[in-house]
Amino acid sequence: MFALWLIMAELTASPQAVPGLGTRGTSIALALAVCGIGGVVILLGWIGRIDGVTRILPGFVAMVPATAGMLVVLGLSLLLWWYRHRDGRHRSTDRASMILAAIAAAWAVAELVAMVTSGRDLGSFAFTLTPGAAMAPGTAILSLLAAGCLLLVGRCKARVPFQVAATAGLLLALVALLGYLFDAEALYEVFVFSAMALHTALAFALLFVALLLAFPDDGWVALLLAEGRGSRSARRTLLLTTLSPVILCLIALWLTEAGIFNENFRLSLLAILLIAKADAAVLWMAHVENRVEREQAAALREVQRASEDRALLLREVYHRVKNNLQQISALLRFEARRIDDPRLNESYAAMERRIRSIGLVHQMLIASHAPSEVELAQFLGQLARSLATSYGLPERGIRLDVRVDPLVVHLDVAISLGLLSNELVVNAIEHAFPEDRGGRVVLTCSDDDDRLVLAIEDDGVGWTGGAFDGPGGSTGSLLIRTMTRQLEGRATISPGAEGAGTLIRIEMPSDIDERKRYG
Amino acid sequence: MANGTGSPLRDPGDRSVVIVEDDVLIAEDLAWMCRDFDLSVLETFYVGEGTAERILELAPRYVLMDVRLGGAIDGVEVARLVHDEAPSIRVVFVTGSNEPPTIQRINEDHPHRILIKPIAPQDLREAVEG
Repeated sequence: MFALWLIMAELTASPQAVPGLGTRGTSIALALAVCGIGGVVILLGWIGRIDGVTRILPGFVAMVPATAGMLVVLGLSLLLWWYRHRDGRHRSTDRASMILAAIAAAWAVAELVAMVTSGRDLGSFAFTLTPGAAMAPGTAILSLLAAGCLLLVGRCKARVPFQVAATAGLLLALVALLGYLFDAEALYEVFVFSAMALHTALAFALLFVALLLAFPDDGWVALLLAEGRGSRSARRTLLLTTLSPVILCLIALWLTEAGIFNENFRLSLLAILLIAKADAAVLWMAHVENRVEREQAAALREVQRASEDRALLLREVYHRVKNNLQQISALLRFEARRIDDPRLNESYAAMERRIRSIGLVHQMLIASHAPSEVELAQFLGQLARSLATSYGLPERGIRLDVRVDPLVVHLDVAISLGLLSNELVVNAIEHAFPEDRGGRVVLTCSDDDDRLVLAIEDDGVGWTGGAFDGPGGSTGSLLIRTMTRQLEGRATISPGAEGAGTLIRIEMPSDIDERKRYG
Repeated sequence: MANGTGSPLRDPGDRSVVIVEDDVLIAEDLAWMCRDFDLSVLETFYVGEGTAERILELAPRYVLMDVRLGGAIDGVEVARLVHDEAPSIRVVFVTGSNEPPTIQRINEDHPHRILIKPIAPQDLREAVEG
């Protein structure tokens, strides 16, 4: 009843393995089957005296009560472990399960020791719990392997020994099962398998599968159960690859028994067939790998093409932006040429300069490595050269120097910094050097640890205006104010380093570039 | 050439210019700027096809050359044809195409100057003086 309740509880959870059951459900069902086989053999075979239950077919050896009891203990141990982990989240050890496993291990060792000391006279061996018959040597070995696995199950550090023991146990049990399929008598001639019953071999095979499913994320089991294409294909062909050698060998056996060819020729035939099968599998793998490689190459080409298209498209856009800016400049100049007022003409010229400072960013972009980033030093240097030509600074004896840290900024930040620098430089040129006065203007942009500082210093006549953030003022002041706000900065005005001239500092957060880029 | 284009005996005071630009608005603005700088605009071309032959006939001192002209022949091609026949004609590129491959192609044509749009009038003045 307990076991039934447990499996009912377990059936509701866990994914994959057997459709509808999940790895956990499958493992529990198999453990229950192992207990069931042991229980039925004890109850019906030995207590109920039904010979068909103990030996399946007349002429086969019987499952001794000791083995049946061992199966119940091992199965129960695994079920207890699963009961402990019914929430399915963590994997650890369980004390009750370990006690049962330890009992099973001690029992199996005792059987093996008794076997060695008492020779092959299994019938007279009195140590076993049920009088009359002892376990087969193979059964004791399988029991020991299973008990070992049950002691290790849940221990993260013991995953490799667990995998090795469970896989070895499964293979050993399968050898015994196949032995029954081909020739039971021949099987009994091998010492290890002598006197192992058919359903003992079956029960152990099931038990080891159940154990392997306790760690479905490990080793070859994980590979078999994984989601990938290779694992799906492995699951599809597993039955065929497993059964085909068995069927081949069976056919070869029948053909020999029918006298069609002798036993040695059978070996060469089998060898060739198995070689052909293994080579076919290798070639199939090669085919699959080639296909995957071709597909990857095609996908990569597609991505590269898309990336080139994108770069081309961006260049086209930047090109058009520059053309449009040139058109806007042209429109402004058409208007300006109709006007005689020098103040208005100066306004138009200032507008053109601002448009050009935006255009300059786009010039930089098209030559940039990253499609939307600008090298600030190169950009501000170019901007300063353009302004120097525009205002005829060399002729006026004004030197404009630019010192910018090696910074790469996003185009939005570059445009704001460009407009800001443009106004700061123009402001210095127009106000610091009246009446043919010469001098020096230095534009710096430096990346201090916690802030980005744009500064302009001149050795001119000194600051006479008010703060930028006051009401009214020129378009230049307005732009300095708005661009400073755009860059989340703060402007300070003070006399220059040697007490003369003017120093204007705009302090911005040093991560302004990232913020404008992703914000 | 029949009309002596490319002759080394060019008048040093020659301030003639031909404009090649497919955007009519920009071409008009360039023409205005040229007149402001005392250049005489001989003609304006809006396509690349057949333009090189006409420029060689006109034999100006300067050519303001856009790169993209909307047709099969671009400004770089026209400039190359002009330079091959008359290396003394000074080609000033006025273009928005400053991507490295195009700049490289322009540089193979012995340009007198390359100006990137949007241009400053002073840059143009500097290019056509001296």
